[in-house]
Amino acid sequence: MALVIAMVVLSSCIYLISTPKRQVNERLYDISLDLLAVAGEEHFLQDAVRGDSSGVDRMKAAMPANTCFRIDVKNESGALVYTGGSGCREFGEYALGRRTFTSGGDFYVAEMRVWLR
Amino acid sequence: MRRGVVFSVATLLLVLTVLTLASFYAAQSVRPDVGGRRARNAFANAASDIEDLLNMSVRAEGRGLAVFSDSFPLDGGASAIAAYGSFVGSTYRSAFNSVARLSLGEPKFFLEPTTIVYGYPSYDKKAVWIYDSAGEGRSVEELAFALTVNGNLVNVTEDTLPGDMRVSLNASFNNGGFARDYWLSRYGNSTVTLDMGGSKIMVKAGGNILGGFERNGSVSVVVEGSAKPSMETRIRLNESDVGVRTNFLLSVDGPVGRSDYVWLTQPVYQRG
Repeated sequence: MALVIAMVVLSSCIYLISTPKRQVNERLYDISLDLLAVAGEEHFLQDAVRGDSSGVDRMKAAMPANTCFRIDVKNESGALVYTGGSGCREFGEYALGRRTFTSGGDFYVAEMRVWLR
Repeated sequence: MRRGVVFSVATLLLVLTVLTLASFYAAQSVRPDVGGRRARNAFANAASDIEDLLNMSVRAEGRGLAVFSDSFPLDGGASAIAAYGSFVGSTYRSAFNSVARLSLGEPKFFLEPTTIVYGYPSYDKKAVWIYDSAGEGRSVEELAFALTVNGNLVNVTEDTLPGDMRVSLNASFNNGGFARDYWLSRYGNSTVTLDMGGSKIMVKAGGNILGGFERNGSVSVVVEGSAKPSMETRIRLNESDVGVRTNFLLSVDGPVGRSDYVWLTQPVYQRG
């Protein structure tokens, strides 16, 4: 009987330990997609590849203090053409969202990493 | 002794069941949802890219109203769309780590659930067409064009046949504006020409030949010359929920894949 109770407790612990971590990652993934959607619709990404990062700076100012992000923009051949973000140190796990966009007839892929400080 | 063995086996089975259930729920908790979101994101992303590439946008407003904000012609539009198809099949595929295919269709936007089409002869957008792909567009309650032209209006020519199709035309020029409501025939040929000297904008209504087919109840807005007007087209349908979909079929493979047309606006459902 004691063995059964111990195994039930152990199984519950496995479930509880693994589930919340994924929910946090899921929220971070949502945040990364939302940020990319805003950056794409407001043309912050298009501005950034043209050298104007004021839109990304505005996103940085609007972020909660405990949430960090980094945007990398690559062109069609995979070369990094822009990188920017909140500037805080990266550590631990992050969520990665991606979005394509066009600017001046060229195509780009933006990668947004979001993590908690 | 025998009872002890039975209890041991029963305990082992119970433990295995609990462990299996726990690991199953832990593994299933989020992954399919994230996969679904990734697919949804891919479709929203493609819709945004298509609008950017074609320099147009669509929004649904209120009951059965679709509003297209557009400018035309679009030099190099056809080659840009073709390049985007290649991009999705190559760069996109490697960057997103998922197999994606974009089948490029004709330049048509379907106002679902009707058969009304907003389209162009090609993606270079030499003209804008509004027609019913299966009838005479009788489900259109309101069709209004608001043009903004960087030029001076010199002359307006109206050659119209009266009927029951209402078309509103509102044009703004550097030297003033022109606005008129027409009730035009669905079958004959009515043309209103806005002449700017070096270029013309012609609004042709009725039985236009579009893409090789006679389309009764259609309207074609054509630009001749160097003018590049922007145009807002309001199409009100006698449907409560209208969505606008492209003719592009996007397939995204993955844990939660999806194959569907790219929608620019989803149907707007009325409450109450």
